[in-house]
Amino acid sequence: MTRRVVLVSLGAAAPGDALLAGVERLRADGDTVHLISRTPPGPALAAALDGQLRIGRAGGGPIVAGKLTLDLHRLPGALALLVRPGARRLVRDADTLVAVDAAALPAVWFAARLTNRRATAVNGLPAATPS
Amino acid sequence: MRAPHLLYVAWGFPPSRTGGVHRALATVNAFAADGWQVTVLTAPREIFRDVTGADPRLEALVDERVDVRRIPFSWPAQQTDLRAWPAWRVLFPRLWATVRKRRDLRVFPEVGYGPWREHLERAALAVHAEHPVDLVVATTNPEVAVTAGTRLHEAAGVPYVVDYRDAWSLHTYSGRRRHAPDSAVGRWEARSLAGATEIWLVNEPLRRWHAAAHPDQAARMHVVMNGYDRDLPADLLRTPDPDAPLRFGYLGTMTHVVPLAEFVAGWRRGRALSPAVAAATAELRGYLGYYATPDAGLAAIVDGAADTGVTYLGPVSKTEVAATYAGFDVLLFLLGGGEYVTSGKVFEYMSTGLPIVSVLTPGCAAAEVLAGYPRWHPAPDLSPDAVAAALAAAADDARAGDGPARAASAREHAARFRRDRQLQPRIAALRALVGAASATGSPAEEVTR
Repeated sequence: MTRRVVLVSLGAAAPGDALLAGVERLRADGDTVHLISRTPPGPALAAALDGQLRIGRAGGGPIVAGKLTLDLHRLPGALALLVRPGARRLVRDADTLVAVDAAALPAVWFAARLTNRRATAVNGLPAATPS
Repeated sequence: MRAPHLLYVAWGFPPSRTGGVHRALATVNAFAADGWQVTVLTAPREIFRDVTGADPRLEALVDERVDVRRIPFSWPAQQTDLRAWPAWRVLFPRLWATVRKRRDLRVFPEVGYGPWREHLERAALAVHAEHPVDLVVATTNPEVAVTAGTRLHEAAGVPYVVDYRDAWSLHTYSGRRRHAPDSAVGRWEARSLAGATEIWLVNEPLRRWHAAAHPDQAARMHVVMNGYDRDLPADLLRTPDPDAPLRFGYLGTMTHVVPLAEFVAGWRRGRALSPAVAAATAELRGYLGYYATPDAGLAAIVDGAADTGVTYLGPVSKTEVAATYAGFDVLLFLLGGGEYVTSGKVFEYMSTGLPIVSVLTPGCAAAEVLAGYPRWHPAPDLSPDAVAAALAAAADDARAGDGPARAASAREHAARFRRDRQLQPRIAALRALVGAASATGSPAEEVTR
């Protein structure tokens, strides 16, 4: 069955070729794959996607002070995913939501509870990839 | 006379693609080929599929006589279903991790795996009650695997082997002790080694270290090198097309101890030094990091080198390894670690007969294994110039007119490292120990074919 898969990346690093093999497997299986990210994907990945949407602003990693780490993008990113109309539409229609980096975990967790309660929500692309 | 019954314990077993899985696969197949009845205790398939990465085709390589039992294993830290995550884990990930760690350590001193002890011990006792076990081989890591051996030994006197495919108290990369002898780990290690019939280590430096740390057990320690599983079919090997760019290739798991950034810097320099390298491509195959989800830092290094002909093409199924090697003209052997690290990959690399460029951290024990391999082109250090010179030399080797003869000579050198030749003496000794006559005349030839 064809699935609508939405990848979410809110880390500072651009989603790159490391995701490519997984995306290609999903596409080969007939799934559609969209990416919602804070930074634009690499060219090869961008070409493999069905679509992409940017939310938040690019640049800036977590603030680290001793043992404390504060990632300013985790919760604002989650909020953007919930309220931005384009992002909200993609999330609402998705069958599978995938957090592809750690910064995206709260966003996908909240989206799976507040926007789309029927979608599968997973940590990491391999968990969404057919074996 | 009934066949001896081996209980083999390995958390990572097909379809897992984790480190050591090939050793586990070859070991159970070798025992089965020698006429043993083999029961395996391992983790559920879903763990490998969802977390570590799986190679489903590996399961087909397990001898059909082997009984594989998948023991429940909970891995909350790697739970991929976000709906199963409590809110406080999402909001306070560090606090959640701290609490989780304390829970893991309650029954066995190993984060993530400690709680498996109870399941393993129960399963080992159940297997023994069903069909008496003659020998347990527990392969680490995770180290919790030893508890099946210690439990059956204490409950029923069953002998057991500890197969250290790594080390427990020793940090093999730094060469430093990770756990003091009087720590919980140190006490568990001493207990498990004291009761073991044999202790297997993957190289001589590791055997020496463990013999010094546990002198009373030194006589029972044996080196069982990883070796390689099978010869590359000759018809897959080819002479490089003189008009086509050379293809350099790396096949293996890339972690933070792999000098990937140093290789990329050397590759850039090599392109300026050698026209053959400038025209060549470097294909990186394997997982980026220990888990199925690619490591972001390593992915960034690979992505940053895309303009120099370096490409990352994802993992390779075990069943496609030979064909992958056959597509390369020169192999890149990148490895971190010191005097205790050899890796399993080095043996497979040598079995191809191809030129090998090594980029190793200084003192890495893998250099001792490669010494004598006629097509070895070592970078003497990790500087860009050293790596570039090695790449250029390997390119010249690949372009040499007598390539087939060079490859044949290199493969002949590597033949001593076949995995079955490593396992055969130990299996024979253990068969003698359990008092059963060999069921087959020549087990070594059946081990990996």
